[in-house]
Amino acid sequence: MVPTEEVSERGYSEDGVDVTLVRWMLSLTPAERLEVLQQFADFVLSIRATSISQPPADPKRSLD
Amino acid sequence: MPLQYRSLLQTLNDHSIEYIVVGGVGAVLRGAPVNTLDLDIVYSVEPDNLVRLVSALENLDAIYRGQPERRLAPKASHLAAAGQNLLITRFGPLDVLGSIGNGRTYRDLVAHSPVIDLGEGLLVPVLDLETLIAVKEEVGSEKDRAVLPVLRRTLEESRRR
Repeated sequence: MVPTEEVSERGYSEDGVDVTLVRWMLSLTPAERLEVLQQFADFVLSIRATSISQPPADPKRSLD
Repeated sequence: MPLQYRSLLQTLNDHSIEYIVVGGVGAVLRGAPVNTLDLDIVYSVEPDNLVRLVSALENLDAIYRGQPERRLAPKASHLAAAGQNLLITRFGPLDVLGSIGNGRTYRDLVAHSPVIDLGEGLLVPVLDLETLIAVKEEVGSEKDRAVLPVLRRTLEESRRR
C-alpha cells in the first residue's frame, strides 16, 4: 500500500499532483475517461490544423 | 490528421488481435488524468496473431511514421522481431510494441491486464496501474519519470475506493 501523504487545501499532493483531478477521473466510467481523452485530442488537433492553415504574423508589420 | 481511439480499438477487436493497451491511453482508462496523442499496444508474437495483426494493420492503412514518404507497411517479419513499430494509421498514431520496460512481452503482461468494458460491446485488455508504474520505473526516461507521480497518486486513490 502506498503511504498516505498530505494534500494541501488547494488539492495538490506533496509531489505536485492535482488530487482533485485524480478523484474526478476516477469518478468517471472507463468509457467516459476515453471520451475525455478523445475530446482533448480533438481540441489539440483542431488548434494544430488552425495554426497550420493560417500564415504566421509578420513581425515587421507596425502596430497602429 | 484524425485521431479516433475507439475506431483503433474496435478494428483490433474486429480482427481478434491478442493485445494489451499500455501507455497513456492505458493510464487514462485506469483513471489517471494524463494526456496522449497516440495509442500504445503490446501484442502477442504467436504466428496466428501476427497474421491477424498484419491484416488489421492493412485495414488501418498503417505505415511507419518515421519515414511517411516511403509508405512502408509493417509485415509479419517486422512484427515477429518484437521491436517497436511506430505507425500512422487512418485513425491516428498507433505504437505496436513487441515488449515494454525490461523486455516484458504480451505473455508476461497478460495476467496483469484485466479487461475493461468501454461500452457498445468494446472490451479491451488494459495493463493495470501497478504494472504500468513498474514498467515506467524500469524505462527510467525523463518522459516516463515525469508521469510517475500522477500514476502513483491515481493508484493510491483507486485503492481507497
